[in-house]
Amino acid sequence: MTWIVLERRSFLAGAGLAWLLGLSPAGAERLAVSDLLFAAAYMDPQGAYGVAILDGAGAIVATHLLPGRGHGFATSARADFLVAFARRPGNFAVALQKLSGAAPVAFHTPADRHFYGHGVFSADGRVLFAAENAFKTGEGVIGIYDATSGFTRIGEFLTHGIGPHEIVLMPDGKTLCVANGGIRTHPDQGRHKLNLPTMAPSIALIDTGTGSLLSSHALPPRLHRLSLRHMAVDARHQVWIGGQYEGDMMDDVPVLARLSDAEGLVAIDLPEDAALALGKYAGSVAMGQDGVTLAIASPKGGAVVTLDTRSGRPLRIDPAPRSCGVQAMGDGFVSSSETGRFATANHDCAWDNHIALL
Amino acid sequence: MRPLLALILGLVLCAGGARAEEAGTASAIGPVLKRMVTDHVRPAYAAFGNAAAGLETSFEALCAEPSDDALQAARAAFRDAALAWSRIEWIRLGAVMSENRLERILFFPDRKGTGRKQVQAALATQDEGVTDAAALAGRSVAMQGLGALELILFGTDSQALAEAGASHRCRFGRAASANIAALSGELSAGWDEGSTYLAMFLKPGPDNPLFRTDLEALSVVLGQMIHGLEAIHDTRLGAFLDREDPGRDRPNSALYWRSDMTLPSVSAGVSGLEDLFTRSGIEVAAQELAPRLADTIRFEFTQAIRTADSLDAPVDVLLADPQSREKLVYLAYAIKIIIGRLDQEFGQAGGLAVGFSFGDGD
Repeated sequence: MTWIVLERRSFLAGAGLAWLLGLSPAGAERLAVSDLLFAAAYMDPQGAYGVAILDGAGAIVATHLLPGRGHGFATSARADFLVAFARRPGNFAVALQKLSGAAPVAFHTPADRHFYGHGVFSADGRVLFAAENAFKTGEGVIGIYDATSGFTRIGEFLTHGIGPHEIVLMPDGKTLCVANGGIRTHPDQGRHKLNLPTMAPSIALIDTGTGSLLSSHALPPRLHRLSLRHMAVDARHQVWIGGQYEGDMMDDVPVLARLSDAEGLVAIDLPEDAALALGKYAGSVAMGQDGVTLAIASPKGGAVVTLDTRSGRPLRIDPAPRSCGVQAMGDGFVSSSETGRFATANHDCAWDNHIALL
Repeated sequence: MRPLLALILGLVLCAGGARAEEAGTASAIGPVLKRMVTDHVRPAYAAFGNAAAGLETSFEALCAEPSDDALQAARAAFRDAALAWSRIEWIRLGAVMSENRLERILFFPDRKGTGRKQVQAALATQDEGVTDAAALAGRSVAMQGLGALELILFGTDSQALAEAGASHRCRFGRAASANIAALSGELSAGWDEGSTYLAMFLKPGPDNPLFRTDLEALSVVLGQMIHGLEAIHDTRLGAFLDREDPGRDRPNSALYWRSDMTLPSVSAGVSGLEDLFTRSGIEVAAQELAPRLADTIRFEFTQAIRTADSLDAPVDVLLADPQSREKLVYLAYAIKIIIGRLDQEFGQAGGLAVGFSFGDGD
């Protein structure tokens, strides 16, 4: 993990110069002693939105205001930026410089698109892929932005589904895995779900070079209301997908699925206590540093469940009321809640659904 | 509830072991859940069932003996059914959430006009597959509920129902009304004494798939009101009222514009949610920290309902007159105010998070 520390140091070097201008002496001190840094979007008690940089103990190192509610992030070891995306149906994103003191770059979708709150960098960190809604037709698209020229939008791919949510870059460095949640929305109608009776979620593998669809995977039709939204990849290159059920809450349905070369996309049944703890709603998922342990956070169930991806068996069920953000930290995980908890610290703000590791 | 919440929050995720004991949480919300069922959900579904049965009866009379009076009676019965549905449609719990019942009763918004096209095609081809309630129930969700009934009763050529020779159209309407009457029975049955769902709904607990704690249950009940008001604001008013530009208003995209029930439906929707708020007694959750908040919320509900009731004209007329259009904009604002109150102040006073809801698919 040496690179993380090195990158953090670089990040810190630039940080104080520009967007962390308001860093307090206490913040600067935390910065100097922390090994890990995280980012999370928040809403403060006055209703203002921003992104915060926190250390592993949940202490805030710095904050940066956003023009609206944020959601997920894109960053990578090779990328010069931490990109914070607007929550759907927002159309802005803000790229914070990690390695220099340059000012943040704000950019947005074209007028007939909006972000879904997630994106990922290419392997070389030069190109950003963002999940977007082409809402006139309802098609999911991946907006392609050039990180080397102010995040100019240079093209787009189809996601071959409706409502793309999280995107991950597969370990081969050239394949995008997209969770098409299946839910159609239109910004004129807020966040109202327009197609639940016919929703058809899928996981699409897309070639970053050509945009062509390599394969598309769906669960059996009886699970068509399980919106596939969040993903993490394990050391064996299996993709673990957390779902959110849009059907009858009394239905006996899984909330987790796994995509592998050997078996394709399969639903994963969890023991009853773990399933109950997740409340048919995975708000976010994260892979541990070991590449083996998966964490699933459910704000509805009020719990974080970890499982061993080799056996598929739950390891722990930790109560975590209204918690959604989860990310690998050391040999465990850090989580955050909409009631202000981040790790073991409590803040007077509401943390949004995701935590990024810088 | 707040000390409990703080206690749970105090648990350290990475260091914590077993699941927290959440003892003593089933007491406060229990009576609220029970009153919600007995004083709001059941009566409102029963009223919808009666209205749907009345519509079916009026279609039977119309089909047996077409006349202008019989057509007017069927149209009046449709308006009753639409109003009764508007009062309970924002409950997104229980039987309405399975077998596409929600969308089969009313598919809206329907941006592509799927329902209209399907109904028109069935009428044009005299499709006999839509004249039997059971067969119709298996067809597209967009062509079997209130949307289809409105087109049949108020759409182009609907006046022909008053004369002999419109039998296919009439039988389609009769089947659609029988279909929603059957659906209303299924909705009521789902909340009957002894139903599996009801047993779960009334008892939050560690093994309950609906909600495990009082706070979760409170959040779900409050969520019905907040999401209902958001949907009325975004998808009902938002369907025809452009936020910025009157030139982009869309009167013919309004729900129930053909039957002039657009604003009555909005009023009934807000009033149904006020009924849920008051009759469930959910205010007990915020009593301690904000003793006057419930009265404020009720006052604001009343303001919004009065405004909607004062807008008693077809949507295109309301939009064309700057004064009534201004009132529509105010109505949207008044609904936003209630959303803010419930989401921020009430939620906070009740021990929930500040104005932040994860609960809608992100």
